Amino acid sequence: MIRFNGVSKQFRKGDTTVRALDNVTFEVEPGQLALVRGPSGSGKTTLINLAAGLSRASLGSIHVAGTCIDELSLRERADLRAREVAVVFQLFHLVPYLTALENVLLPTLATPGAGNAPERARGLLAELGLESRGNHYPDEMSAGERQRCALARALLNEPAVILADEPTGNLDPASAETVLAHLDNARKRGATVLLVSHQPVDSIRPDVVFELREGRLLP
Amino acid sequence: MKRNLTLYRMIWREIQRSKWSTLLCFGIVVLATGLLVVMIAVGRSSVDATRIQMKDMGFNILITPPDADLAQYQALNFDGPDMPESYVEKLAGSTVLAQHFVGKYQKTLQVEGKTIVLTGLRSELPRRGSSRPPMPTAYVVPAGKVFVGAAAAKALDLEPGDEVAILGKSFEVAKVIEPKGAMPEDIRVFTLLSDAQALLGAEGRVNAIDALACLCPVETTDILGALQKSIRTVLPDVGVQPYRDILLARHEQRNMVYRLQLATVAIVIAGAATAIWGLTYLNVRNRRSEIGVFRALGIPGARIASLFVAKVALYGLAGGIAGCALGYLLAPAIVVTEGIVMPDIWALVLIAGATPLAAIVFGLPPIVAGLLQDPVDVLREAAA
Repeated sequence: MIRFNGVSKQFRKGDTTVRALDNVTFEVEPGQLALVRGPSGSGKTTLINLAAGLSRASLGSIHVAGTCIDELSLRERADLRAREVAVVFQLFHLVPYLTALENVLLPTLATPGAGNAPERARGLLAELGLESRGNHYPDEMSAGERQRCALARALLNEPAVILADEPTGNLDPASAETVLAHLDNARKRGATVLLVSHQPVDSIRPDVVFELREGRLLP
Repeated sequence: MKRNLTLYRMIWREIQRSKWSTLLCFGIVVLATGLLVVMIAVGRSSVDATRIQMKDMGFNILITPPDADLAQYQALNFDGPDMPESYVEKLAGSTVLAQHFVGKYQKTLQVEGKTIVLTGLRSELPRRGSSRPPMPTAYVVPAGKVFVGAAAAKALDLEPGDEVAILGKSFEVAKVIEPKGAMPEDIRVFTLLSDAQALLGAEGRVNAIDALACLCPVETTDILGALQKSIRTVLPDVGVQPYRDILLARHEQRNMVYRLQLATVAIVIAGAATAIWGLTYLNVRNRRSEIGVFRALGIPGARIASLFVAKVALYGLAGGIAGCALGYLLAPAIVVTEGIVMPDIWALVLIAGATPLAAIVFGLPPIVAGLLQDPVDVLREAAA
């Protein structure tokens, strides 16, 4: 579950105060996929960062996976991300010196003790069509493969909440369709998915669609 | 891969991936540690060479009996009071700031109408626990024989193998000492202490003790005062007469070499610290987006820091060991003094052990700075 209640986010840029989000209120239930649309600069990435607990809201309250994250410490928010929340980035952000399989296993550094993680990681790579790419480095893979690898990394710990920031922004249509299909599968397994995109996502049917314009959710 | 991803595997992967920067970091630590070992060897060898050279200048303090008149000593009149020979053992067995103790009994005599200073010498007693070689001027004269100063030998027309009668007793000339150009050294006739004591009826007595000072700590400013105080704690009533210029020159020279050693070691450490700081800074900077991703994945800051710290420590450990070996091999080629004093094995172990700690200390500031960056900013910059 993700719930934003009157959330605003302001930050200073030089002498001016930028209002990235303005009194945003919405809720996405478990098993729902919400699509947030909006042009560049409308506050979509800020919304993802707030939901991930990577930054704090200036006003309002945010609940993620049943936890109010406003008062959590840095460590507690990191712990929440490690256990319950996964983020998929537009630029994949794979670690260049790790193989695809090792990149998928990265979350285990935050949650050590998961004994079957290597098997699960291999299974996810296979599911995403990367079975033969496990020992390849990111620079040996195509953009679509890298994003699928990043998605496998996000899904490893079976998170309750998946935050996807323009995950198809750099992909060809076929790869984009694969990534969206897997986000849709995650929804079907009961995860809350918040998908941010300024592109059309015709291949899936979101449960909720929000429109962001200049930091405000349109009615 | 059958097992989970571990920090060690990640560090190893990163090292494999960045071979050149790894080699650079490792090389800098090896070079710095090697230089440190060489500098310590240079410093120790210089101190030792200085010590030997300054030792050639001879004893630099004279310990005289209570109430001795130094003016009379200067006039070669040694007829004043004497003191027990056991004072020499007392000094040698103590922790005074001096070493190389030679008890002597000296008296100005006329031999064949010529003035000589009969000087009975006892074998040098080292300070307790000292293994240093004896002073070059601490002659060991065999019983029944004499060493004759150059001026005395010339005046008495003596050569090695000749006989000379002193106070009615005949002695064989075992050696003629090269001219020193100083009085009364060149008119001395040296015998074994017990021979001189027997001739002069002064068994068990000495009237001067030569010694070499100072073992004063480097920071001592009033070394004459410190020395007198130290000796008088053992023998409260004796006179302590320093050969001031020799004493101060020796102390200054030792201090200068010591300070030079400290300065070079400090420069090497500062250079290495700057290099480690700079390379760690670049490494952290180049991996900012990686740190941002780790944070986004919920990996705790301490675990992320340990990735960098362990890598720096690894460079420090491997570089420290290799540097010690390199320094040990290179030092003999670089040290210019006649003898070389290498750092002992425990010093090398200490350096090799301290290098990773130093690397961590110097590498930590950029690591912490990297972790304190806002992950949102870092990821935004990476996307830009």
